[in-house]
Amino acid sequence: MLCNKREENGITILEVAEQRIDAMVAPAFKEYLAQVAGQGSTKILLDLAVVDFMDSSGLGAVVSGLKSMAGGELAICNMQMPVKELFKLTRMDRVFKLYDSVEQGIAEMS
Amino acid sequence: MVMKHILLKIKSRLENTDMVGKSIYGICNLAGMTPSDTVRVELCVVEAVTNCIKHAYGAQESGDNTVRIDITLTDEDLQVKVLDKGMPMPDGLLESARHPPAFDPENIEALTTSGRGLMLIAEIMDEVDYLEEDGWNCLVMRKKL
Repeated sequence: MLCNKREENGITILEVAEQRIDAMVAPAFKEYLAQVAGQGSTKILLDLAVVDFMDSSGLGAVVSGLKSMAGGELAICNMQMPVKELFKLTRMDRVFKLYDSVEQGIAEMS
Repeated sequence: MVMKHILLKIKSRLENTDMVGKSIYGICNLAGMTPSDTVRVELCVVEAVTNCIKHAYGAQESGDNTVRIDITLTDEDLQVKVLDKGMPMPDGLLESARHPPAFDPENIEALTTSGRGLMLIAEIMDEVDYLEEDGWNCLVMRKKL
């Protein structure tokens, strides 16, 4: 399973279960995010606590997820250093709201 | 000057890229790179290998083609060559990756969902070249220690 999904305060929390989000996983991840957005979630919080590697394909899937939300909110929390580096290098830290924890994300998005 | 060398060869399949990534990660640790440079170099090599599999060999899709990762470590730098025998990278692509276009973070619709791999390589590595070597397409990346 790619993600564990739960709802809290009207926010869909997706706890990613894969350690590496690379070109191998990205197509399924992209499809999954589009599916969740299509089910009517307007606020998604992506919990990346276990993800210790993401490449540009994985990042592309996250960007695609944001685009599929059509004005909805997609925020990210619990990023490990390698993933933070990727977002910083690609300036995606200016596009996505990034939070240190699930609790902080929920508090800010509620 | 001390020079260490290792050659990795993988079949052109995406499931092999994590083994390459983990190997590079270990070599960067051995070289005494900072944690930040270590993860950045791992990212570059995974991006380069993925490009070979998806783009150079993409049309062939047999999965039996070879990607070579030729790594040389000296006191001064880490050099990684990523080689394939597929379609060469289009002219000018590396040069344009060195100058990524500005974007508006507010304009979500205009964000691209692909094409960042080579830009990351150009930004992270100290030197990047693309050439032909003994019949192989060769992306050469260097990171100073």
